[in-house]
Amino acid sequence: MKERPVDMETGTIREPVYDISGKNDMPVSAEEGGFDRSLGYCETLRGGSGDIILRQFTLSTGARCFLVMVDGMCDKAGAEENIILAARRLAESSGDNKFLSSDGFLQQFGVTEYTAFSSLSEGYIAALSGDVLCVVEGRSEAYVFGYRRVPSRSVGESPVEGALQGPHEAFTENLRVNTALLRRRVSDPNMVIKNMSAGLRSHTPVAVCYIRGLTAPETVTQVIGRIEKISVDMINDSGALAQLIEDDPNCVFPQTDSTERPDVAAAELCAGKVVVIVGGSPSALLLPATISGFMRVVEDDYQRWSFASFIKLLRWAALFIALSGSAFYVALVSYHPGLLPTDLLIISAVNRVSVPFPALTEVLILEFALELLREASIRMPNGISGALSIVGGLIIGDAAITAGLISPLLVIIVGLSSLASFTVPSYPLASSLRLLKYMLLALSACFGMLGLVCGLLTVASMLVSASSFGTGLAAPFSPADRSGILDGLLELPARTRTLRPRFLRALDRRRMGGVEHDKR
Amino acid sequence: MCASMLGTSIFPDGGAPDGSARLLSLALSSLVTLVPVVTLCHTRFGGGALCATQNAAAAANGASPPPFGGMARLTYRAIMLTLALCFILRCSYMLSLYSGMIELYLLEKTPSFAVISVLLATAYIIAGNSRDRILRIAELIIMLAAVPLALLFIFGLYRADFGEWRILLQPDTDKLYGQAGSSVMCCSGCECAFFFMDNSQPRKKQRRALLLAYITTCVLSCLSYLLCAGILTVTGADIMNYPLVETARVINIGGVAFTDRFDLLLMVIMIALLPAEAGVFLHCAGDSLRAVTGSENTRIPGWLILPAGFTAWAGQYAQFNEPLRRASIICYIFTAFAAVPALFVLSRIGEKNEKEADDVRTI
Repeated sequence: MKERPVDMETGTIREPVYDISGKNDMPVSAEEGGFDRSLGYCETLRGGSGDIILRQFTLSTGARCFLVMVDGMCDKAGAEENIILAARRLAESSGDNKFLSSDGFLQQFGVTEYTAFSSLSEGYIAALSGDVLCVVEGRSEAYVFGYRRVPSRSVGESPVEGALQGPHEAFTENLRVNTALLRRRVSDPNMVIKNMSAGLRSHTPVAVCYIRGLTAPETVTQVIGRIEKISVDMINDSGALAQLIEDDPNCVFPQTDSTERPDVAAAELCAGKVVVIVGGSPSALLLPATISGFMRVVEDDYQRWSFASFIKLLRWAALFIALSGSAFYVALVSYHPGLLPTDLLIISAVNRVSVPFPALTEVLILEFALELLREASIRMPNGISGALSIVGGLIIGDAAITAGLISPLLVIIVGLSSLASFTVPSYPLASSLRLLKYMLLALSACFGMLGLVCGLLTVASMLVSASSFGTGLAAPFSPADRSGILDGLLELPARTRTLRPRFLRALDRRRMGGVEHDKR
Repeated sequence: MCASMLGTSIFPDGGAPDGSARLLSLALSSLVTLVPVVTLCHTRFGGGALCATQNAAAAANGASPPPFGGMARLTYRAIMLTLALCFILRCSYMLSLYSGMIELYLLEKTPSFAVISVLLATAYIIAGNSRDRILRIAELIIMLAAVPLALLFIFGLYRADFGEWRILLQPDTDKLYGQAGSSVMCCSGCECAFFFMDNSQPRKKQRRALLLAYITTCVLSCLSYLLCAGILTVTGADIMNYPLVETARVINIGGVAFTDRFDLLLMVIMIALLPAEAGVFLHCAGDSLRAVTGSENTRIPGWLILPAGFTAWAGQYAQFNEPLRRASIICYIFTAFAAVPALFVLSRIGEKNEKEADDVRTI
């Protein structure tokens, strides 16, 4: 705590500012006057905050006591009933104020969580997250009781990761609910949920989940180490955390994967990945990330392998179309029309004869319109966004063709390319592809097929040199892992997938063992 | 790994050996080139590692003069400088050759300089960071190209006239010697061995990979020639500058109607292979130049500017093709039969010296 001097110019007294670096920490003292100092400290910290309740009372033994809680974030009634009343009653019966250290305390007062702090500021910060801080005169420790009742929505369906088959529940903004959803699916005693916090001001709770004896220890160490090093003031979402812990901030590809579904998180946890859950965010991070992971959806596991393989191949094709579909069209139409079969060439030429723009401008106009439409439909309320899509997609598109501004063939190409980008399961990856698409468009407009191929090579070189927590982003395709490549491209029958992917460096590679096939 | 990298020489069109003696010379040259590459693979030190070892040994000896003396270091640097020149020449020759192909079939109005610059810029991006990136890119390309290539060969062989192959069994001995040099170039790839010199892979694995690489290159080169001869006739394949592209133009798949020719597919693969191969040359040239200066800086991009600049300048003039080709062959012979053995001997001395230095340290 540092007291700032009076501002001589305005004559106002500045409010005391809590030093977030923790240099002016206040230890809880059992000495005479220690209680008053603690009370003064907490009152100063509270300042003019109306939501922070500071309740002082005296035990029958004469020892003073105060509680700090945040209105609306904790079970105020429960805290008052259980702590104040019961403490008074117990103190009267026991005749001293040492009841708090007794073993029977938790059972008698129904307190689910009970932590002792020697630092008052730490205890105060814990109280700000919804717990109740209790300081008793003559004690050298402050106690924090778990009466957290943070408002949160109930477990529902994920709006962004829908599935026809499989569970429908999704993570919420409540960290404990999320860890419970995960723990319910993985009842392995080796599963560790390490509590951490990030953000100097927000003190956002973070849970790092992994399975001991399975997840590569170096990955776990890296994840924990990078979260510990974060010194930003605010973490609002897992996406913000991901940007602070990723390997290369300049890389165009996402280096962390995320999910809103507990079944996906549980599956990845069992595959040997680390799951990071951030308080206040419904998305859990899956680390390390790989390109094959981005292209995978959990439904693949719930469907017949043959159909799932077909869909997976379709998604890979969609990735290439989303990235290079428009650029390929520009290269062919502008530089190499002779490479098209004659019939297709005639159709293309007839369609383009009335268009006043070169192919690149034509594509850019349509892509720009689509980007606007996409952005507008996200920002608009759900009821309007459907109508907006119809207006944008059908009416404007049709009018543009009739006016001769764009060719119908291009609408098909760009539409297909956009459709393909929606097929890519990972939104961050699809966003990267959207950016790279413009680079390829520019190159193919300048150098035709040569530019397109060189651009694709550049993209590939960026991909193969990127890494996520020590694992290559292009794994299992590069470095090549024979079994991993098949698993990445197709969905192999469940019985044949006996080993975990090599690139995750799992301590226990066997995923399936000792399963007896029924030979009847 | 190396197989995929050497696989970049699978389409030795234009300037590559022509004529009926090609198959024989390919087979012979692949044997000839195996010797220096395997020797190089046994050579322990690459880049500036030799100088570094000398310095370390000198420090261990209490700052006494380097054990090889100034002369040995000078020899080593001279060898590395010539090697760098060799790689630059080969890169220039290859790019100038293929830029001609791109101009002929894809970009008629684009100047050579622009085409070469784009290829070089891509090669620079691939080679600039680390050798790992080149290896991984080569791996990806081969993975993606495998299916189209298999299709090309299957459809091509289906259309080939096997009677033409009988002519290949009567080699013209007068042409044989002239073509041997070019064949050596086709199946060469000493530069690839450089990739293994700092590699932590076990020596046995490296040798296996190199052997596989040579077999793959040789088989693919022979197959591509057989395909061209079978479809375009031996004479046709000999007189054309880019017989494989012409072959792909001839092959068609009926019924698909989207693209009924293979040349687009082949062009895409060939363009993708070019920067990858140029990247290998640039990286090796940069590494050799780094060794000449004895720099400990392992970041290559700075060292690539000189080779890339020369390549961009020389590659745009068609009249330089023949001198570049001859110079490349001479440099290759120097690499294979002078530089590699010399490096081998020097590295052995280095090893011995290092051992002595270790003994001194122990004492």
